[in-house]
Parts: sequence; structure tokens; C-alpha cells
Amino acid sequence: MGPTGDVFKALQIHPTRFCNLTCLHCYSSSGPDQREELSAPMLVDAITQASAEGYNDAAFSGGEPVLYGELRALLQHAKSLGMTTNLTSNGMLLEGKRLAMLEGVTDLLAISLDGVPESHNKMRNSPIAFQRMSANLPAVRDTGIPFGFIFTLTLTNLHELKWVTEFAMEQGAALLQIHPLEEVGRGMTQLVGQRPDEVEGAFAYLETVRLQASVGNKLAIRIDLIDREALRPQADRVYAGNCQILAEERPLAEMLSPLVIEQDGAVVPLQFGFSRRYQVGNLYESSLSEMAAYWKRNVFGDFQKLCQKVYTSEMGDDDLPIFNWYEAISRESHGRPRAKLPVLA
Amino acid sequence: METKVRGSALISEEMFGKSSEVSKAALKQLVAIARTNGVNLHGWWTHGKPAVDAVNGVMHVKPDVAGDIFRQLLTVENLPLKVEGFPIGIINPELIEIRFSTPGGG
Repeated sequence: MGPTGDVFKALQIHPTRFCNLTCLHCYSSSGPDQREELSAPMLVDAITQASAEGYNDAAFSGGEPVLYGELRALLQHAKSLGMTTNLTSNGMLLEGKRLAMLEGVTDLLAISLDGVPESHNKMRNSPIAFQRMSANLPAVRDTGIPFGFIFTLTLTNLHELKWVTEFAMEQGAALLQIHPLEEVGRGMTQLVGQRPDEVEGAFAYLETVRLQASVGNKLAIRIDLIDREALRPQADRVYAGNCQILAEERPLAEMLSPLVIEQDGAVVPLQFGFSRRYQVGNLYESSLSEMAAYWKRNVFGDFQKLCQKVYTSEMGDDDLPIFNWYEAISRESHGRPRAKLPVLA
Repeated sequence: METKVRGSALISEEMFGKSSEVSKAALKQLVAIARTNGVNLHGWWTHGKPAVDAVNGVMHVKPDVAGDIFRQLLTVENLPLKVEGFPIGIINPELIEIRFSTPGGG
């Protein structure tokens, strides 16, 4: 079934590294000086072929996706194929034409919010990031596009989550998603030691439960961490089960979700930065359909072994039950050992 | 980032009125309580990718089991808490926010 569940099969697209900000935690090291981007015709073809492989959700990230000139065309195309569409933005540019181009073609808009205004601005590396983003929220609401916030959890900011929850409620958000910081991209140098360890992850999980209970069904609060015990009987959720159907006979979306298209054309499993050893291919070298067929025949076996290795490793009893599977498997894909951080007082 | 204090330590301080260390064993137990009260495994997502199922009616924790979760927290060894409920008062006054405090505390 995979981590995104049995309903949504996610194609995540990073069309550009161009961004108006240089956030400290940016996993793709995007910024104003980064102009690498994929062509719209290439992405139209990839979305079409991904749809044929069973992907039904197109998610756009970046860089700042609203700075990608052909974003509306891509959203429209995905919608025409029956896909749900969503994008993640820093929110600072969601006004005027850039906001209008999302109307009618966007099912969910996720806006970054990394704590109280002072913390948000520090993380965004901009003294006006919160002010500009929050000033755009009334217009976002007026579009009627369901929107949510994405909060990056660090070792030191869990106490700000309650404020973020209240802010999200006040603004009429549908979703608050908590994503733990990983030391990748710019975060490797700018936020050393700020990755939440297993203790902080467990607290964050409980705080999520507490906050969800407090707000009821007014706001969906999600955390990108998983409870080992919930996962233990469901190895297929992390592709560690043994499927009896031949790989070549299955749509790619059943074997891999999220599927990620990076700005250099690489198509990789699960998350940005995954080892190229397991990549599906590169859009500059072949079509998504061709690379999918090759991957099923020649790479899926190794990928499944990787998933089984991480599953077995993470099911030990001596750790706290909450962990970041995405980080664990991405790290293992690069052959790096599990991270154990010193515990602060 | 300037502060080096754990976010969870600051929450703990706010809740308990003082810095309070929660053992790994207690943390495990707390997670287990949440687990047995309906915190289920749905889709979970990653880097910059919003959980689309969240706006399509799939909830991570059922609000109606919140009371059970927090009643059971009282039984966690070495975590002598009492639970209070009070209206959150912002969006829906009927919603109850549950907070912890130490016995005899405010």
C-alpha cells in the first residue's frame, strides 16, 4: 500500500529551485540565485505518464512554485487527468496574479509557518517573512481554496506548536502538518544540532495528539512521524512486505508513493535527495513510462531489500516508539548510519 | 537558532510549573495509551508535501476518545498528573482543551 495510504498516490514535483527566500532549513538549497528549472512540456509528459502509472495526486513544491511561469498550465493539466492538486508555498507572494492563477485548479494549498513570528522570520532568513505571508491570508481565504500550514519541528520549537495551532484555527486553515527537520540541504550547515531526536519526536507526537483532541474536527493536525507499533503489523505500508504479483504487472504507483521529480530531472523514490542508486531515472534521458518499466525490472528488487532492511532495523524494542521513517530510509539509501544525537539537558 | 533548550522542556515547564523530566519509559507508556485510544496509522507524508487525505475527512485521532486518553495518562507511573479541562474559547466554546498540572498545583 505504501506510506501515503491506499487512496492517494502522490507525484511530487519540484519544477524550480528559484525562490524569493533562502530558508535555513531548505532541503533543496533553493534561493534567488538558483535558476535551475524543468521545462513545462517535459513535466506535462511526465504528469501524463505518471497518471497512467496510477498516480492521482500532483504536489508542487520548490523552490517557490508560484515563481514557476507555467505552474497554472501544469495544475490545469493534472486536473484534466483527474488528479488532485496541491502546492506548498512560503505564502509571501500569494497575491494578485500569482494567487489568481491557483484558483480553480488547486485542491489544497500548504503555507509554511515555522513558529511565532520571530521564529518564523529566523527560519525564513527574512525579517518580513511572517508579515508578508500573514497579510496575504485574507485573500487566500477569499479564493475558497482549502489551505493549511506546514510547521518544521526542530529540537527547540515544540513549545510554539500550540501558538501555531491557534493561529491556524483563527485563520480558518483545514490542515496543520508537522514535519521534523532533517539535516539535509541548507539545514546541514545552517541548523546543525537542531534536528529533533527521538525524545523530542515522541513528545511532538503526544503534543499532536493533545492538540488534535483540543481542536476536534475543526483542524486536521498531522505529524510526519510514525509509531513503530502501529507500523509493525503493516510492513506493506513501507514496502517491506512480500507482494506475490510480478513487479512488471503492477502500476508504479502501487510500488512507490510518493514519487519525486527533482529540478535536475531525476525521478526518485519517496523524498527529495533520495540516493540516485534507487532512482527511477532522469527525465532528460528517457520518458517516465520507459524508466518506470526499467525500474520495475531492474531496481525494484534492490529497493524492496532496502525497505525490508530499514523495517527490520527500526522494529527493535529498545528505542522510543516514534520515528521518522522517511529520514531513516533516505539515510539508509545513502549508506549512512542511523543518527543518534546527544540528549540536551 | 539561539536557544538550546528543548521545546518539550519548555512545554513541560509550562504545564508542570517547573522543569520536569519525563523518562523514556513514561514516554513509551504515553504513546502506548494514545495508541490504544484510536490514534491510527493513516497516510503520512513528507518534505513539503501536504497530507491531502487530511482535508478529505480522514482524522488522525478521533476527538471523542480524547477523554479516555487523558484519563489514562493519570495512570502512568512516575507521572503524577491531574487533568483539567477548560473551554478553548476561540473557535468553538464547546471544545475542551485538556491540560496537565501537578497535584495541588494551579
